[in-house]
Amino acid sequence: MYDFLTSIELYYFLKGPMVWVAFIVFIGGSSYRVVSLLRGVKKSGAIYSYMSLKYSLRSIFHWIIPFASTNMRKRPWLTLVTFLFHSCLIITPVFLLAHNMLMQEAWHIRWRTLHEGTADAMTLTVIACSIIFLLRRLISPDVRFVTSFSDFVILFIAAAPFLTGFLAFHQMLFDYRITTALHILFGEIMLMAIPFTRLSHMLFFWLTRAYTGSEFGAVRHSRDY
Amino acid sequence: MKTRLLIILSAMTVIVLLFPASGYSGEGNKPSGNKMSEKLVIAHTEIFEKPERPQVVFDHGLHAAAFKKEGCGECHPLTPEGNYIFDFPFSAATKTAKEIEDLYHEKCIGCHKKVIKGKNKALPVRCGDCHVRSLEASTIKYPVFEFDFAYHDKHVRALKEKKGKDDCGACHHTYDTLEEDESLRLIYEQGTEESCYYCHDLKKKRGPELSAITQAAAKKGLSIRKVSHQQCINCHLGYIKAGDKAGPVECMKCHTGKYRTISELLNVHRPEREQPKKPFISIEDGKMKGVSFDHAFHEKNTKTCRSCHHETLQACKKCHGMVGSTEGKWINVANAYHDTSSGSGCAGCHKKSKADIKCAGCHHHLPDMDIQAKGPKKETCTVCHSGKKEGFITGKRISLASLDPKKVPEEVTVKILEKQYQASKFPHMKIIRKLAEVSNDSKMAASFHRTMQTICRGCHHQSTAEAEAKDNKPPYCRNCHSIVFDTKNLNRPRLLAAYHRRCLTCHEKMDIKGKGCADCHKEKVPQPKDLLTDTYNMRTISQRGA
Repeated sequence: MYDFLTSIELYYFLKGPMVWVAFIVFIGGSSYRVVSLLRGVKKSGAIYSYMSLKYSLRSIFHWIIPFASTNMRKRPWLTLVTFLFHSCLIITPVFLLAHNMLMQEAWHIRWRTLHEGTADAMTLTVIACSIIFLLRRLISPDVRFVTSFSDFVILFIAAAPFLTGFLAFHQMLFDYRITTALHILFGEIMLMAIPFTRLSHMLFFWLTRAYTGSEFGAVRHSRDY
Repeated sequence: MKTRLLIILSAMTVIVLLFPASGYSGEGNKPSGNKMSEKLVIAHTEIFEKPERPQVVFDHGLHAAAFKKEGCGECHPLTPEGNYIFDFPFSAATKTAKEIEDLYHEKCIGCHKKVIKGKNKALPVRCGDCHVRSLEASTIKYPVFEFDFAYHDKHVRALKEKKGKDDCGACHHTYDTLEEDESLRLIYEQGTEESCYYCHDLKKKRGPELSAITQAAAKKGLSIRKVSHQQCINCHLGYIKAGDKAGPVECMKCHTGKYRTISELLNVHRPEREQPKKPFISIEDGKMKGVSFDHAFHEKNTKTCRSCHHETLQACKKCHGMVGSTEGKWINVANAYHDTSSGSGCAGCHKKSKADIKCAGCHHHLPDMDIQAKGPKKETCTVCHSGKKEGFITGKRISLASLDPKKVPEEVTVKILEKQYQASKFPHMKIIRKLAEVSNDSKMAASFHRTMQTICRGCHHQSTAEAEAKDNKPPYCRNCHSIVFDTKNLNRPRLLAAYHRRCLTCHEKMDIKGKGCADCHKEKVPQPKDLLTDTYNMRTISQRGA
């Protein structure tokens, strides 16, 4: 088992074919989910009649800017944690030096990268925020009431690449080669889970905000933020 | 809910237990034992300053062995002259951080991948395979290679054998800063051969003439480390390629950490550059008489020419004139020879020698040479400044035969201070014989201790020969050091201190046994306490009575 996990074959498999599989599932699955949702909406017919670009963008704008909505201002700490979590979760892997080096190695493409220390701090932020989310789900009674087992799994899927990435970067606790393999695997699992779990809010956030914004703006003539 | 949480926690526990916390040790990179012999640290701190990832501990020996057939060119670029550049692999033109980073990754990982595809599957390709966290702070230092006179002589003979004549230009060259055409600046001129260190030791501050060259060398990054590797290894490789007998190219064959001592180099032939054997050093307009200097003798007693000739192999007076000038870093010729803090001058070097355990007994208390005050004794100056061209008298042994046993007793009993201890029996002649033996054993000491009186002055530091010559006027310590403290001469120790300071410090400096009280003077047998008169009590009793 140890030999297998540390083997170069596993590493090559995970950073080669499995990356393609993960991206195909992620992009294909996401496209399928978005298209099928839009088709369903079209079939129902009613929603399209009041969809408005203006109100859609107004809603999205107010929900992607920290403290731009009433709900966010009511829960400032949660807002802070959420924004830190989401921004670090997206920015860190995209602008990480090691990921860029792999792209450089494969396709000779590379862009500006974060300083390793900054990336390390951002990784820790994601891990810390995940712990806060976990505790929130366990402690807060109203959140606990709407929590199912899958929420813990999803939280784990989101946090695991960062946790293993942190361990791999610092080469601590476990054999570096194992944490690297696990890191790549968890990253791929996260990508593949996006279209088929509640992580799909990455795709549907924009659509649900557009719908809600349009309904509140065009139908109810009120604000949804 | 709790059950599910338990499941998660137990799953995590299983994962933790499944993979033992071994921590990647970076096998094959860890410097251990003799395996470290061919390893290098790749960090390029001159470009990256503080690298984001841990430095790479690179096994050069392993790679050199793997590419034995292909040769150094697999990694190292060539100069236009066809010599390998060893300080940075792959490309001579690569200078920016990004270029270096990309090139290392591309070349190293690229090559490793190729080999992995073939047979060897254990080659590093992951970030942490090379950038090992546990080796982040490790330093690998090779012992400096000392190209001593023996190596120099070996090279002179080997080149002569190969070329059929002397070929000093194979290594030696000079840089003509006045030549306009840069390609013609590096030239070899017979008779101007000097040490590589003069121009390529970039850490040292040099005088105006040499610094013009060192600046040019610094601009090109031609440090002693770089040029030594480039010059030596390329030459050796050339002979290896030609199937000829050649010097080593492996790190540890040169960086052995073993160094020859001066005595081991004593019979080794010194480089010939038409240097004078016994020059007469005479400074124009100088107040002092000239010095006949045994250059050949000093050559044999130093490990490098640089020991004295710190910037050029020319005469000292070439840069150090009667008055200070920029050429001589404002050190005039008198100070150049007599500065006791300089390792290059006569007085400074001799001071170091005098600190030897055999010499320190007397010399530790003798003041340093002071040319302004003509100290410690005017007679000292004339030992060198004899004005005689026939040569410095070296190695004349001191004879004890002239000593009159009546005036120079075999044993001296120091009774004057007898009190709590018995009189001290001082083995006077034993000490004289030992000091004379020490002096006669060293050519340097024998050259300066010309007469027996010099040895005597080790202890009798203020007595003059004339006074000693007089009958019944022995040079007693008490002649100057009184038993009670002399309040008018605060720097003159009283007799008790003078004896103890002179004897004990000599024993300490020369590491001679017998530093305890009873070693010199036996303790008197104590009388019963009751019989002793207690003056204090007596007084108080008498006062009471009164």
